[in-house]
Amino acid sequence: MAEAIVSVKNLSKEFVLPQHRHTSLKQVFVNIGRQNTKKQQRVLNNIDLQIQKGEFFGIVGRNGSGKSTLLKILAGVYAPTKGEVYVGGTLTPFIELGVGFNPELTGRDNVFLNGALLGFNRKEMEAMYDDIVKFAELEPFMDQKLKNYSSGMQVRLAFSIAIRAKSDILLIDEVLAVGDANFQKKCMETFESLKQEGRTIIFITHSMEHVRTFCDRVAVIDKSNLLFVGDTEKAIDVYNKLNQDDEKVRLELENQHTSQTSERLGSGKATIVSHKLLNRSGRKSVELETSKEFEVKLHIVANETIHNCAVGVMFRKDPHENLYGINNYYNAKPIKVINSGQAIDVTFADKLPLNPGTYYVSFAISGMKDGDYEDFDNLNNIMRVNVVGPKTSWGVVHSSPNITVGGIND
Amino acid sequence: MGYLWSLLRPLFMFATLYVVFVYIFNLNKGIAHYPAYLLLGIVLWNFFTETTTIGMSSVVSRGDLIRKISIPRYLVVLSSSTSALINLGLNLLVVFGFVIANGVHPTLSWLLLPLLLVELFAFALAVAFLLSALYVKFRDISYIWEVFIQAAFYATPIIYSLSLVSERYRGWILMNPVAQIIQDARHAVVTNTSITIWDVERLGYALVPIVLVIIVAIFSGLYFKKQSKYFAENI
Repeated sequence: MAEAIVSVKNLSKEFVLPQHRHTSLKQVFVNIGRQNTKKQQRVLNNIDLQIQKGEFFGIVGRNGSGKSTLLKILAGVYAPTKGEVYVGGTLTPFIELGVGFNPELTGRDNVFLNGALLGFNRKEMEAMYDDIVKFAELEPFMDQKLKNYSSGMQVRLAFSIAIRAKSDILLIDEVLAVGDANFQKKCMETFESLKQEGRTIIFITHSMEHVRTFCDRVAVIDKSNLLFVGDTEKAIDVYNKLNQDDEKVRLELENQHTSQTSERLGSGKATIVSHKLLNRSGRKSVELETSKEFEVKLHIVANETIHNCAVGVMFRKDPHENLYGINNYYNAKPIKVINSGQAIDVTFADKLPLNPGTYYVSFAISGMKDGDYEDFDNLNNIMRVNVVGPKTSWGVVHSSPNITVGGIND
Repeated sequence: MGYLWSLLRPLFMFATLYVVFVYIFNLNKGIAHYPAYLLLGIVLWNFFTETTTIGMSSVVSRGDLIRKISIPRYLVVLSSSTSALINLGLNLLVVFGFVIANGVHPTLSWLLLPLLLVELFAFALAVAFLLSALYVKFRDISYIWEVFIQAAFYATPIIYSLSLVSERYRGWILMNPVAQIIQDARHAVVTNTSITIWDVERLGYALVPIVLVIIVAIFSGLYFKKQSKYFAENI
């Protein structure tokens, strides 16, 4: 077992909320003798972490979970409120690329300036200057002022300098957000080679793809707490679960209000009084599972006597394109007649053939006559649901085929 | 261009004060080599104000750096004093030009000047460290300091001679380290008629300004060290 190069014990961090902080002596004097109403916000709560030498360690978590604060504490920018942090080696933080860049200087001068911040002297910088510029693909621009660079160019330049740092530990926070596909590929290759060199890398990202490619171990942080540390695949599951819960809460909120895309159409000869979407366990939910059972229950009252009724449910990804619809008419279960004032209950049960994602759901009742139809009541795109589960096929349609491949010797 | 202005600024201030105090108020009576005497005072005072004012805002104005990397915080304050130091060097050249033009002969006591400059630099830096840490938390410090510096300009014998002040107050005025330094520097370089703290107080009291510098330096250093941990989150 390799030794721990970064070790965090019982780490907590609290910030005083800005609106409760005195920012002038005047406020201090005015508030003398008043009750101290400072509000502390805990952004990290009892974090314990051991990162081994040579590890590619990922930290994931939703926005505001505290992961950047943790990184800043490791980098020595913030001091912990409680607990201990041990860092056993030189450390270069890329909390943000291009720290210390001066927009009034040329690209060339900025390379040297930034290099100095990383601890290189002029001679060392001169030796690697050409490599840096070549990596950044900015040869023609080096004598222009930095303020004339695009943001992508600035990040490329900063990244090219930063990866030269000879420190034992690299802290990387979401730096790959900018840069075109080609440059991102180059970054990935660089990470590969850094990993090969046996450097310790602590990597914060939202991209599970990057986590899967690079990380040996991953920590999941949520709401200031360390939720999970360990195996990459398990961590990704934990993280995805968190996001699904998030999506669920969001959709529930959204469904309380009628969303912009939804509308109620129809002649009003019947009214859909209530609609319910039930998940596999029979509970009302805005979250359904791919390929699993679900139910829709509709309660409909006829306002006048209607004939040849079709009741249906439609799932759409785009508000105007039908993806998957179920309907009693197509299943030859016609409702011949509903008398005025009569109430009916319709229940649909099916296995959901849709891949994970969010979908609009519509409910409608209409009358069929000579191949044409009249909408009585149509709750068009009335709610959104989140479909979760494994993705075993391309596109929106779920399928789990048996695939055999012949002709390969292995 | 920047250096030219840094030379011209004290020279213009000197010219104004010289005209006002020599031709209007006749304050130069009894002071030998008044132009050199006045200019030296102004140059040293300007160095003190420049170092403290720029130092005060140094941490806050480099907030972008401080929030992102863990450079030693004291470097930010220290580096902010370099331009004031360069200005001081250039200005002192002009001062010596005046000194020689005024017909002062070089003496061994000129060698005391570097010691006094060290004391002045130490005091200015100490104050800058204290102010820079306070400024992170209390943004109105800058206004308070501006007013304070203006009052202190008149409480320090820069444009007037101490001989115009009642003897009872001379000791108190010279307790101010900057006043002590300016008077000592004048005594060493320009004229031995400059009244120094050594003339008006016994040895024990005469050491008060130097002790004050040391106390302020220690206090500022400790306060800065304690606060610097929280600069990143308070800026």
